Amino acid sequence: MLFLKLARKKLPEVLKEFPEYSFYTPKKEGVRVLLKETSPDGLPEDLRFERSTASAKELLFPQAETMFYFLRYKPSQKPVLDEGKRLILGLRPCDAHGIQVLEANFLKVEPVDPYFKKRRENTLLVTVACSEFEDNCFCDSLGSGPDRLNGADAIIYDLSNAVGVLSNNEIISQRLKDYAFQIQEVRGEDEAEKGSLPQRTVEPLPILSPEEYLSLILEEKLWDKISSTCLACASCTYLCPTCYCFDIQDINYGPAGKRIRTYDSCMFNLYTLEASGHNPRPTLKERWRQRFLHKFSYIPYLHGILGCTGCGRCIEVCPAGIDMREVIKDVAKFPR
Amino acid sequence: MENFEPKIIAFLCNWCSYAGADLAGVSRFQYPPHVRVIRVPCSGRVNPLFVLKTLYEGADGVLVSGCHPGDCHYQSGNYYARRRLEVFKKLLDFVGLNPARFKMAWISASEGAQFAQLIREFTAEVKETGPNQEFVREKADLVRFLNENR
Amino acid sequence: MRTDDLILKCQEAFREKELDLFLGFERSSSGFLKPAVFTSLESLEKISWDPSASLNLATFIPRFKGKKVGIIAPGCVSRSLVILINEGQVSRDRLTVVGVPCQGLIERKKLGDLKGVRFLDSQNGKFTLQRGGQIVELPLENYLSESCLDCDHSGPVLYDYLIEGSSRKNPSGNLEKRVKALVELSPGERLLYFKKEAEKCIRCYACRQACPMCYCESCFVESSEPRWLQAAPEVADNLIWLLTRVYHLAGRCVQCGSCARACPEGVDLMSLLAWANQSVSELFQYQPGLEIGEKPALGEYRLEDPDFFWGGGLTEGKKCCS
Repeated sequence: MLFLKLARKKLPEVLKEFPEYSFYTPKKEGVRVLLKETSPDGLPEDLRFERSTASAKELLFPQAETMFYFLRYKPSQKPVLDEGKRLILGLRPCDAHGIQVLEANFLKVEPVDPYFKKRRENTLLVTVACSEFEDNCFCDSLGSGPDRLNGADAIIYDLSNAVGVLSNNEIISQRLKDYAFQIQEVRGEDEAEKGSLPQRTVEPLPILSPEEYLSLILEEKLWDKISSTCLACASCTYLCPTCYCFDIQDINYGPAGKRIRTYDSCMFNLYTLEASGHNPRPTLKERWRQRFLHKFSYIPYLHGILGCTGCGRCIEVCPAGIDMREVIKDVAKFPR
Repeated sequence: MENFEPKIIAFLCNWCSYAGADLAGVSRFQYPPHVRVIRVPCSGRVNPLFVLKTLYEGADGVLVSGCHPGDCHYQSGNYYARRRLEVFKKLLDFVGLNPARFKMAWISASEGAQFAQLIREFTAEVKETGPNQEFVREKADLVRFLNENR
Repeated sequence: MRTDDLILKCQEAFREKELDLFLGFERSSSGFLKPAVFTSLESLEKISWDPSASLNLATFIPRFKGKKVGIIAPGCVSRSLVILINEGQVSRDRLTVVGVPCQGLIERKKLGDLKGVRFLDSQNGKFTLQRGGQIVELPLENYLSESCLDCDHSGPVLYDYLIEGSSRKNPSGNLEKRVKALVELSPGERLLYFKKEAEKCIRCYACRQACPMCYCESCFVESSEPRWLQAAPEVADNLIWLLTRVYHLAGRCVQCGSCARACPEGVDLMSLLAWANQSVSELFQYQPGLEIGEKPALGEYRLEDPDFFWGGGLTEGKKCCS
């Protein structure tokens, strides 16, 4: 991968090297921070962006998308793919980690999801290393950090009088080359100059191995206690960068129709309700257990990366004040 | 609005209003053909979600009609309907649905002429209001797909 | 109200009534109170109550069927309990209510950017926050939830034990004024307003889950035959969701504001709910949650109910709405 250093004021010019890409940055809108199309000239000088409400999921795996249209008696359906090219600038390393988990699910397992694949292929994800921690984020406790590349196409480090761009994406490296005053070939991201990073003095959270977490699956009391004040709304799952469960519905209009895909949530009591009426996860306790183990046991076991990015959105939005950090501690404390 | 022919859905209770509508037909009372009737056992059967779903699917006007209070075949169904639908109509009006689009009526089995009169009035009111663009679902893409692939 | 008194009273209730569990609030890491289920006398040392709480605790009652449950209740929670009792969702003898005074609950969305904010304390109509290293004291009145500003039954109407203290009086009438202002708009303007609100909705159903009165085991949105609305959060579908939920609460909503506080997007639910309740109150002279033994308004009828139907003789010519 390449590490390029550029003068700060070159950035808006550099961004104009990507004319075929629509340019998106996080922008505050009411109570939300959404990814909005902007012009490269509107970049904040300090490269500090608000943390987006819905992470990169907003553009790569939106809440509702049309899969295909169909006509009665005509069996062929062409998938409706999003051909738009996008350059998303200003997300954070935790958002990139979230996309890694989505990639693991949608791209690394057969069948490959054509919708996510097309969007991901057409997207350049450029994150910015964090200059400070949010109230509720804890990526550093998960062995990740506010400076990691995490599979993004490039990450920008603030080097006060310059910016450093770390990238192993051909397109980005090529187009930036002419603007950089220093280019370095690096083998690992730790060889790059990262500038000053936020330091934290809190204890890291106790993270167990996937097998250790799985051994707690039958501990009723633990999951009872954790889910006792959960409202079972879907706020946390909708905003979580790594949640990818979806539901499929057909919307009809006479002899025509379309199949759409929308977010599902393990918090809904329809989750895993089978046509027979049987539900292997009949109450909130089982569903909460599934949410936790999915993030901390199943995803790491299957894909080798943690299913939680430590972004803290769930903590911020939960109307019942459930704190994932407390849950992690409670689970680790439970006698095994 | 010229050339606008409204689609009106009427939920008529089986024992009174539906019979009244039938009487209007048999007696050859003239009324506009825009109304499509759905027979329900009682006006109390009408879930306000019926009204919402009907508007959502593109109807321009919705009518609910039952037996006069005191004459319900099931004794009290229309009393419940009266309470529920009045509260519901107030809610729909508050949200901004044009009040002309939702009407509630009592038509007895012998009131064929009144049924025809009701439909004439309601159709004129809805026609004047114009097509339902407020509560109808988004289907532009489906319409386009259907037209391209007929 | 002193927290020590609250702890002692709740422990007394837990002991005397041999409760299985106690519903209350405890301090979260941000200093705001979060709901908690206390299952022992010792754990009740952590129970607390102040304006930083947010949820209506009665929403947890239906999940503890068959258990003997204690609960702390200000006015709105106690009224919710009355309705749950009237609708047969909980029996009075299984409930032990510790009535608490209430000065209103803070609407966190009014605090603006919550970065670096910790709730510290509340006293005498003011509350203190730690904000980015500084201690800030703010007047409660400016940050209360809209429902609390208008509350006219802030003291508990139902209780087995009572914690003495003054509850908020002088409802501001704000919500009523806002509803009136909306009524004065033209239908087209109102529709535009509510469509904008419906656009914000992400269908997380936090409002439904935070509401004690939404206890249906199968909500109408989960129905697939018939399917009333699609899962995608489009405006028309969101409107069906919002209107139907509000309609299902007409005459049952105690205007506690738990839904509005739980909504992550700040959708204006209160004006719809206030209007629905107002309609029921005007048409049928019914106020929800004040008397045990009352039947829900839309579950009964009177022969002399106002009649605005076409062809009805009683109130011919009168219009039901403006």
